[in-house]
Amino acid sequence: MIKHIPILVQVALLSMAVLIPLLRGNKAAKSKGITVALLFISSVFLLILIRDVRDNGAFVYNFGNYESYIGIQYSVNIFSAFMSFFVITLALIIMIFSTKDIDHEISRQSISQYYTLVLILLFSMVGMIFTNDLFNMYVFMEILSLTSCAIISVKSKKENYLAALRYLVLNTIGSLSVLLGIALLYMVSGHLNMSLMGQSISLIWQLYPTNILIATGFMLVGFAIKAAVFPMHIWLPDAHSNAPTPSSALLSSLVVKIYVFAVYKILFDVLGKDIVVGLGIPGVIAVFAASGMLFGSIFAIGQKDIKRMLAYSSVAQIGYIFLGLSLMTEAGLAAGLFHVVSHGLMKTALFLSAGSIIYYRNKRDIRQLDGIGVEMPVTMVVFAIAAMGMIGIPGTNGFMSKLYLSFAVLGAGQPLLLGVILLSSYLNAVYYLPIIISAFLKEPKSKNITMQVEVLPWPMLLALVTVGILCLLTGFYPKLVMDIVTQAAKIFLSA
Amino acid sequence: MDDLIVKMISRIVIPFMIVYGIFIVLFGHISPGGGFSGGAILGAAMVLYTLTFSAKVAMKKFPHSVSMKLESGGIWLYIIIGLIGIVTADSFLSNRQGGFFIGQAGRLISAGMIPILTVGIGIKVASTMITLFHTILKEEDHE
Amino acid sequence: MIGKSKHQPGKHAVEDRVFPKFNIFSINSITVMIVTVFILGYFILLTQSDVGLTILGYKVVFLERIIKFFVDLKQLPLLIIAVPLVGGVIEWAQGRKSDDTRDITVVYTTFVTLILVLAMYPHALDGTLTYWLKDVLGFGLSFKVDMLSLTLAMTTSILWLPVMIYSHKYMLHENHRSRFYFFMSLTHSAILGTVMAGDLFTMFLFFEIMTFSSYMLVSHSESNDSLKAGYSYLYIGVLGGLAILLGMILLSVFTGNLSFIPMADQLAKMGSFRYVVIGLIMFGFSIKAGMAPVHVWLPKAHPVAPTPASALLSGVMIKIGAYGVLRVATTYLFPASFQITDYKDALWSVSKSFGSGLIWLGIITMAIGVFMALQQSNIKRMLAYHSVSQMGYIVLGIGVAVYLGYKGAMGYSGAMYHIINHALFKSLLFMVAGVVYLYTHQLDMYKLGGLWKRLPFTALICLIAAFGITGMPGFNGFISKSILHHAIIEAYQYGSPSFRGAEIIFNIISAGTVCSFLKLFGFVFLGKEKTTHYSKQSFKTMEMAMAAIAVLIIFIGLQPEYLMNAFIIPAVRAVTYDPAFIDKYVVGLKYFTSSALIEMAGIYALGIAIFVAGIRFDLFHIHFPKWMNIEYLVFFPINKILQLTCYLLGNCKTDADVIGQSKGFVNPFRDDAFADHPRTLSFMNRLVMTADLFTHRYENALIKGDVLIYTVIVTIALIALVIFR
Repeated sequence: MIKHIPILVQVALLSMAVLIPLLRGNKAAKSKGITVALLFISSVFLLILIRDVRDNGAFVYNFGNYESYIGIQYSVNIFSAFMSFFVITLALIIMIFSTKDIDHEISRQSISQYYTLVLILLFSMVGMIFTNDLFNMYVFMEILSLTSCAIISVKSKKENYLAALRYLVLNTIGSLSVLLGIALLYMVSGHLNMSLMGQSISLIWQLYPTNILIATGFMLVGFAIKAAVFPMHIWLPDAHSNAPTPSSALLSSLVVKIYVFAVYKILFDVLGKDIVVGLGIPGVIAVFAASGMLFGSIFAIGQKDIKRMLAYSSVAQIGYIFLGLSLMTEAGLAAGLFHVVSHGLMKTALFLSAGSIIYYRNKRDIRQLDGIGVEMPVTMVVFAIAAMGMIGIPGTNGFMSKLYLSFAVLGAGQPLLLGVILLSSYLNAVYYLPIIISAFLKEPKSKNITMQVEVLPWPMLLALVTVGILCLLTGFYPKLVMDIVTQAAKIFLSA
Repeated sequence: MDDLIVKMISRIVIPFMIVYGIFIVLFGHISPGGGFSGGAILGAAMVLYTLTFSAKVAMKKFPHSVSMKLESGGIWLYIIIGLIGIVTADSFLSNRQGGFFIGQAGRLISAGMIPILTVGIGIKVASTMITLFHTILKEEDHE
Repeated sequence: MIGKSKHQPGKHAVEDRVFPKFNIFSINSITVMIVTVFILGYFILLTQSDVGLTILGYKVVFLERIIKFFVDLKQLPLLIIAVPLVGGVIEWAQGRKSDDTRDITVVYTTFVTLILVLAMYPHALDGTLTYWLKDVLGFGLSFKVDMLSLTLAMTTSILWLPVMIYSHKYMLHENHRSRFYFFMSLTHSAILGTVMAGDLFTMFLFFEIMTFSSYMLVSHSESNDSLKAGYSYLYIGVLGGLAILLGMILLSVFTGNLSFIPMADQLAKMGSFRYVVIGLIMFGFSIKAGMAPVHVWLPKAHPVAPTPASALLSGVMIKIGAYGVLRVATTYLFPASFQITDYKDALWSVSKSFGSGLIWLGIITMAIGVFMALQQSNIKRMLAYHSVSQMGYIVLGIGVAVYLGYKGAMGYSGAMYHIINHALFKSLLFMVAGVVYLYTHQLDMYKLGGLWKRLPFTALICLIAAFGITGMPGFNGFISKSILHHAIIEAYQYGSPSFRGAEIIFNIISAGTVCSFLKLFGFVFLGKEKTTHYSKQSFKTMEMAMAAIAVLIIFIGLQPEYLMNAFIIPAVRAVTYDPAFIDKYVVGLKYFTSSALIEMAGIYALGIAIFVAGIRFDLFHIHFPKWMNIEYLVFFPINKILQLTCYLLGNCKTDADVIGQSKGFVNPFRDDAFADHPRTLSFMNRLVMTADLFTHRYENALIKGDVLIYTVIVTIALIALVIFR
């Protein structure tokens, strides 16, 4: 029974997603209840799956018991189990937050549609993590792109439509690039299953070098657009800042990471580390990652809107993850994956607290946030914890991921990148610290505010506090995550 | 569109289109086609109906509630068939091992679950096309 | 009970609250004080003689068990860190109800921490107080308390108690008191964590926590000045933290080990890269220590903080920076004792170069500190510059300790002793300044005068503290200054003769210190009364707290051997120094020799002469040209590069253009209140504005050119891949 958990979780998500439009009565409340309950049950089951994989080892799940060269295959190892658990849990926290927040962001009849879209989004994310088949991954990727555009444009405002349209166009370009790459690789290797394709490519790549090169190039650029690697990040600021808060949190913390996982799978399962290093890809990725880290922060300094600033900060952090990837060592991959988890947590905390401020005070401009720490202490404390993590203060998970990344960089013999990491930490401090300081230490512009305990609805508070505590917990005991992530890196490198 | 000739011709043509669409859907496991293309043809038939007669009439004939149920039903059909595979053969979407009747290749009743799935997909695609078309028309009305 | 001050004819009374002399707080604090005095006395007896716990007979058996439990507790370092932390939270909760209960809680928490710190003594002495916390923060935290750590922890805790008693009265005049005490306790906890750390990683953790919690103390009063000083403090502090982090990572990668064990052999293998690594770590710590040229935050931050915070910032926190330098220098740079035989051994070359650098940096710091201090009129600013100067003494001592290698024990003891002494008299001086401020609401020394009649006790305390800092025999400063003087003489005896010049500068600067405090005492307490605004309060608890520290100063001044034998010599023995040297020169050092006394008299005479000359020729009001600001000089090249970028981006020639173009953007560095004057645009302002212009110019262009960018990149990638394989 346990080996069915991946597909059962997906099936549950999809079936509930299409059940929601059929509901009668108070669709909004029922859809919220269904979503939260379903995500909670799914995360419990995925936790059981992680335990099982850790005890009994990895396994593959063939659909319909077909052979791997003709059927769809799911590869369930510690990496996919843990990452899907992480995705579902973080989505659970965000959805708990959204139960109260979404009423203020979109119109009433759109609320149940929103939850349908989120469930389909999660369905495709879980699928993309588990799948071991290239075309299956493409299908899930398309579903993911469409639903992520949809959760931006569900808020019926003009800038949402523009942002979603731009996101859609660029995503389509990316998907087409990926499809072209997949087709080229299929042409050469004759398989669509990633492991089989990896085996065959390692045998034949001397015969078709150009083909494989072009395919790799297209696929990487396609995924880079979707994962918002600088300079193909352009859709990200508009999309993430105009979307409703739960959507921004989902997009920034989870959706872009799924494409990172896809890149990991392509580079290591399909191509194999030797070919990738032989092609000279790590250097190119490193250059783009480093420039993303710096330019993301520089652009973030100049922003007035808080969500836009957080979006640019995401661009910089994705640079970190790709930097870890480009090192091609076990420590580097592990550091990159650890940063996926910790950045997911921190960015969720930041977006949720920014969303709370917008919910409560309707203020998005950073200049107007003076003294808000007195009115909303819990929110600003969570924001401060996550911002400290972004800067790299010990005790937070951001510091641990920077530390692991620095050790990995030095272990791979690239001391210059270490300077880039630290410089970008300092730039992070330039734009995060003034917000926290003016929130707590300055007088609010309007004078009739008294210090009160938080007046946010309890689901929002619960979500904020949970994600804040998780940030601190992974900061103080990173071993919990780091062990799993190191094992995952080993699996990738040995494939 | 208020043209008499178009209305008369489409009254004759539409049933044939629907039959053809159903043929492609049902014979999806034997001949080229299958759920997607068959469903597209079915949808095109309804689109022709909408264009010829007014959108209001078409929306009454095919209201949103019906299309909603059809779409969800399509997906549910697919999922339930897949789950049958889990129960009987320990793998999602099992065909022969899931106990479906396989029969001889080339006959209509064969290949286990594939015709059932194709039917589900066909219904879903058709209703999606119609919903999309009606939604776009509704948007235009609002403009 | 709050009473109103009566409006007397003829004299304006300051409108503030008058408190009755004995309220619940003062009773509690007096009790705590007396108990502390007893316990400290008992402790001194215990450490001097082996009298044991048998004095009081029966009652002591149960006490002995409790003491033994705490002394042997493995998790004692954790407990010591946890107590102020938990206390801080309790204090904040209490603060909602009443000021008095909160402050009583503060005092008791500090008292309990002090007792626990005292309990560490036996095991710190035999070197077995280590504790390792597994898996926290990925690499585990390790605590190791040796005599150096214990000395600093005790100085911190012993000083914290009087300052907390003092601050009760003082803080009643400020807002957000509960927040202040919470961050005070957090800082206390972080400081104790830093000194008890057993490896560089743990120390870094607590160091960063300390930086951030003390930031809240600096910008506590939320005025524009304090926010500005806070920004300067925070960003320079974060820079220091990043430098330590970088050095720590490099060190860990090269040597695989971050615990404080001697590593000179591994460092020697690294070649000249070791200068970068250790230099970075020392740079980071010396920022916190207020060493030139990165001391610039200190004169901005210490005056704007509330006085109890200034007292502890100046008294304790900058010492932690010096502790960091000392610890890193004497463990990483030193070889293990079994690896060397003699002071000319080759492994000492690692520490030699660092040592001479530290000595000269110390001299420069001393000079800059005293010179700038003489120019100040604000009392607290002057005291801040004196902190810089006295830190120069300590760094000088550390430099000698490192430079002379095997024979550096004198410098080490001098540095340690001066850390303790400076903590005592500097905090006392700040407390005096606080009392003066409370009494007259005036901090400009030229506007004050004749206060010895109105505040006689405070004047006496100020005199004692001034004697301490200037080195009058009979007070504690004399002891540490003579040890440092011996150290410098040894430096040019055993090392390079260029340090003769260092010794001469040392003497001149001591004279300058004398002059400066002559100026302070004379202008503030002697002379004619200038202001007429006096508060009607009594400062009994504050005076009691100050008296406690003054008693310690006199005690150390008259009985210097106690500290040497009980704390400093065991600490020196734990480091790789020549035991024969220690026994010959350091143990039983004679302080009150006639040559030392005559030298001191000479320095005092020189100081008085400088003072008289200064008054005659008005040397105390020198204004420097704008380009002589250290910050300006250090950031000059970067500023020029940023200016060039601005010019290329937005065609702006002067800074006024820059500000004009980026007006209306967010981020306080652009706030009008923060930009002094366009010509002195600070580095952070400039950085942020350049980033603004860059964004403004290129962001929209990037967004509009999305498809173009994609096409270009794919084409280039494909061409590159296909052609270059």
